[in-house]
Amino acid sequence: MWYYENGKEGDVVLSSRVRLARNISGLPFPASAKAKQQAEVIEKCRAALVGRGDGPRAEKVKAMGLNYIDMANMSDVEKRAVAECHLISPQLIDASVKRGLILSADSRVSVMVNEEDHLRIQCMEAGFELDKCLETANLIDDLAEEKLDYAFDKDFGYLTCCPTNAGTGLRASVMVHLPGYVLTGKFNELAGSLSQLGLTVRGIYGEGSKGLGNIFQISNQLTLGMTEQDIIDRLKQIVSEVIANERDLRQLLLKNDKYKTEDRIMRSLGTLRSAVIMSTDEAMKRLSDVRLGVALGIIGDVEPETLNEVTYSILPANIIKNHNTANELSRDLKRSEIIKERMC
Amino acid sequence: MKCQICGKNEAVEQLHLNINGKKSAMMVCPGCAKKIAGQLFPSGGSLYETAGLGNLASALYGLTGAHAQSAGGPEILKAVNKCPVCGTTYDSFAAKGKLGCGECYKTFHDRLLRPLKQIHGTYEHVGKIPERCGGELKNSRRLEELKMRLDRAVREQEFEKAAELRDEIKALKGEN
Repeated sequence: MWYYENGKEGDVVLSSRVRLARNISGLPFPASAKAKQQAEVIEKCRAALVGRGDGPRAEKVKAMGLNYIDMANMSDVEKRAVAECHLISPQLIDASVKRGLILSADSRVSVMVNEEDHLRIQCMEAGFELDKCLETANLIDDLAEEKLDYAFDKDFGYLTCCPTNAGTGLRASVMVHLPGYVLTGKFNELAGSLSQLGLTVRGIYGEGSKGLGNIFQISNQLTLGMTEQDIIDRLKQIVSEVIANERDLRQLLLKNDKYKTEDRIMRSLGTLRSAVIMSTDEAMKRLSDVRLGVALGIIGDVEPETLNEVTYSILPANIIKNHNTANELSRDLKRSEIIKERMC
Repeated sequence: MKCQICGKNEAVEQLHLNINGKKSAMMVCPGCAKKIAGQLFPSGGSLYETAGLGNLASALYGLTGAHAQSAGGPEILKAVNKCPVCGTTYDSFAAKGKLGCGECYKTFHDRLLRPLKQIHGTYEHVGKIPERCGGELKNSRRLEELKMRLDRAVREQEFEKAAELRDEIKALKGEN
């Protein structure tokens, strides 16, 4: 899976993502549409993106192996497992609307159909790769527009269900590991500064997951009044600064409190390699310490790719889906087993 | 029915009024509704400065926001109208912050200008234009850009460049 890879600036940036919100003209947005209209949207999107071979764009996209998945055919656990890997949003799980998913063979492209908007084109890459994400998203968008009449206004741009997404419909985000900011008590200051710069910082799983594993998502707040490239360039510029500061803060931790920092990291590695029962929260906390240890060169025998793989494999719905565990205890037992298997 | 304010145009929207506690309703045309909506929204600071966006839908979009109540004059509670395509009312949009379809942006166009400006700092899209349905717009944007460059070239006495730009403008207009 692409999200196991250790990409550019992988010591801080886990992954990058660009999302474009689009709607089809003349049809109500998913929440206001009748079941028949929802089905019509799915059919139109499917025909516009899947299995086409007409023209250079279609050929390029065909090579990505886009597949249509009817969300109604997926079990709840399967849906939650896919959402845990960030391939779909939690909103797509809710079955009150007919929803669809168009996923590329390598899962780098995920088009959610009938989420809040008719189409949510998402392109993802490991590491700090926002330009690449935008390029792929534009390709998918242009291909879809060959067949679909988008709801577009010359003043307001691409029209979206929520006016906060109108204009470009673009949300670009990076998932970053920030133990330096958190452990030196500088995180709140960072969040405040980012907000003043028109960016949002959220936990790995949105609002409720603040600080889980010191992993955060930084994204643009504004979608109107700037070009797509300007939005991306601005985010890139600010995140580059965050990356540099995070690295400095990590060094500062080591410089000011060498033994305590080393002890924290090695203690977490020891726990992960030995514990029998492991909750998600504890695992994410310990994995953050180990990730820091790998980045600082304190731990030499764990690969960043292994950490990424473990991070996603131990999430609750993924464990239930892959190992059919019955309750929380059996999940916590399985979690420690998975970690030991990969990290010892 | 004719508009009860100007008496000229067809009335399509209903205004609910509350003047010194006396409630009444009147039918108005889109033009007069727009004027009243404009009076309700004097320019003010960005709401982003004071709070997060999540729970602000009604503060952002509601016609009965603080500005309306502090204006001093007659308090106008709401101007009701409905999107002809999806049936979404402005009230339901103001409560949830979600529109029902693309047509809603036309229906509520004037009332969306201020909230959009508060959210994004502008209501002017300068980004991507769809290839098929945006062809004309693309040309007009290109024309504007060329004209600006031509002005600059003339100002800076770069006549060779100006001649090239003038030809390009002519060609573009010719295509239209």
